[in-house]
Amino acid sequence: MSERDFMLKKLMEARFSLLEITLYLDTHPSDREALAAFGDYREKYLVSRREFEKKFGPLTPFSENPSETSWCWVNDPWPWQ
Amino acid sequence: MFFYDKSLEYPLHIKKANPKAAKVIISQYGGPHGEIGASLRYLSQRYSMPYPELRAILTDIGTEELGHFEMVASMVHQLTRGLTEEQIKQGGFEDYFVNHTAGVYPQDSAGVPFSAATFAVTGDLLSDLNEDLAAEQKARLTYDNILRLVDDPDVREPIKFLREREIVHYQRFGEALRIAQERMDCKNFYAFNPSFDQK
Repeated sequence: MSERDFMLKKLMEARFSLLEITLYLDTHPSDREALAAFGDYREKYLVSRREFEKKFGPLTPFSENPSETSWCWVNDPWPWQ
Repeated sequence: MFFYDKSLEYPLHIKKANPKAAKVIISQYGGPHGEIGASLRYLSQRYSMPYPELRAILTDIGTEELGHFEMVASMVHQLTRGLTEEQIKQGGFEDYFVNHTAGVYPQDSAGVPFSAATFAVTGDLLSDLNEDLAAEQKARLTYDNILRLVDDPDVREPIKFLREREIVHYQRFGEALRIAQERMDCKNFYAFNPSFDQK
C-alpha cells in the first residue's frame, strides 16, 4: 500500500467513526457517552485530515491551496480513479 | 449547501474489469432500490418532518446516500475500465455499450433509466418513515442478491460495506419512528398530521 493510500485509509476510518456517531446522536441527542465519543472521533478525524492535506493536497475546494502558481484542487487522483 | 470531499466513503481498488458484474451493480446506482433514489427520497422528505431529530437524521442519511451513489458509480466505472471489444461481446455488455460506451448512466440492471416514480414523498411522517424502513430493506436485499452473483473480493468487500450501512440506517429510522410516535397524539396517531394540521 502506498503512503498516500495508507494515510487516506486512516482518514477514512476516522471519518467513518465520526459519521456513525453522528447518525446515532441524531436519534439519541442526550446520550453523554456518545457525546464524549464524538469529541474523541472528531479530534482524530481533524488530525488525520490535516496530515493528509499537508502532504497530498486539498480534499475540498475550500481547503488550503498549497501553491502560489497552480490551483491544486484540479490535480489527480479523483476518488473514482 | 453541499460541497465536495475528494474521497470515497470506503476504499475501492477494483483491478479486474467485469462487465457482467457492472451490469448488476449499476442497479444500485439508478435502479428502483438504488442510492440516488434513497438520497432524493430522504433529502426531499425532510422538509415536512415536524421534529428536529427527524430533520437531522433524514439530512444526514440522505447525505451519506450521496456518498454511496458515488461509490456505486465508481465501482461501475472501475469494472468497465479498459474493456476490449471481445470482453464487451463475451460479457453481454453490447446493449449498454451501444448507448453509453464506458460512461456511467443511472439505470437499473435491465436498462430502465432512473425514475423518481420509484419513491414517495407523502408529507405524512408515519407514511414517509415506514417507506424509509422498507427502502433500507429493499436496498439490503439488492446487495444480498449482488453478493450471490459476484466472486471478486475487490467487489464483494465494498458491496458488503454498503449492505451493512442499509442495516444501520434501518435501525436509525426505527428510532426515528419511535421518536415520532412518542410525540404524536397517542390516542389517535392519524387524527392530526403535525406537519400539516394547525394546532
